[in-house]
Amino acid sequence: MLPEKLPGTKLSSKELYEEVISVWHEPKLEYRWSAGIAIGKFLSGLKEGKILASKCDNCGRVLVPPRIFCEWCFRRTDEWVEVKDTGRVNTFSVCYIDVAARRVKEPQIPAVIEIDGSNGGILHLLGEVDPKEIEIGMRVKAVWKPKEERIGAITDIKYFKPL
Amino acid sequence: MVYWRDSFPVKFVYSAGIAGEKFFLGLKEGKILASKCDNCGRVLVPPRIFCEWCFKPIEEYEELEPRGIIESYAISYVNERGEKSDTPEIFAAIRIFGSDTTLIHKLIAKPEEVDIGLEVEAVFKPKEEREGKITDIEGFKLVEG
Repeated sequence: MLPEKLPGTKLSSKELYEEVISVWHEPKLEYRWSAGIAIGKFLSGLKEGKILASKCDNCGRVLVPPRIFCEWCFRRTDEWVEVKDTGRVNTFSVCYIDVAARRVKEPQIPAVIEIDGSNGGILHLLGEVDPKEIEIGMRVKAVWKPKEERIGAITDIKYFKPL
Repeated sequence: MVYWRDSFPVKFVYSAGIAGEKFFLGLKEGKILASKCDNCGRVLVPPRIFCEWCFKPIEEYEELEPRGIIESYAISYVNERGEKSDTPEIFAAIRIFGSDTTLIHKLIAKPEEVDIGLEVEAVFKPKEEREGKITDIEGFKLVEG
């Protein structure tokens, strides 16, 4: 049914906000979500300018981002290792809209970076690069925020730039 | 422990509706308004624009005396944030005389005085403090005798 044919009383915004009696409410919906053991350690590592990985001694894989269990071997991972902040572009996307779906002139370039010395990759951004020059397999390096600005978040790395 | 912390921004505005608006404006005038179904004869407080028994629109309104009886009640020793409180609040389902429904409101009474079937009377705020809200009634007090 078309909205104008539905039963009920249509109110304009002005009527709703200014003229009729209405209930206003703003529920306070706050949440706190634990990063977990492995990601907690990973984020704390970022604050120190390090990329931390977890290693499974059974299959030998080095996991970035780290996990406390190996989903191949179905057992706990064994040790923590620091890996380099360099890697290769596994895949990327050139994005001309922002998070609010607005058009932007300067594209954001999300990419999966395979971190050197690991079997994993992290989803991050590419920067200081012409979108036309990006290739899969391209060597990149993390660009970190200054130490005093790092808070233990994935954004402590600003982006990855070509090596 | 590392954790993420954020909030969801949610706001809403919800109109009281045709019958609700009449009811709240009535409270501002110190009146309790009801709507009456001309099919089954039921009198509804708070008023509604339709009868859910007959499934018919209601257009008739009437003013009732601000008195009624306690149909049910609950004594609460926690506040709206779930914290314990030493001064209990008493909430009751009150059937206004002449109506067939109940209105939920606060009782201004001591827990030991309250009972089902007791007669109560609305205590309105002073006229200048009323704003067309359910809180224009401060609560219901027991009618002596």
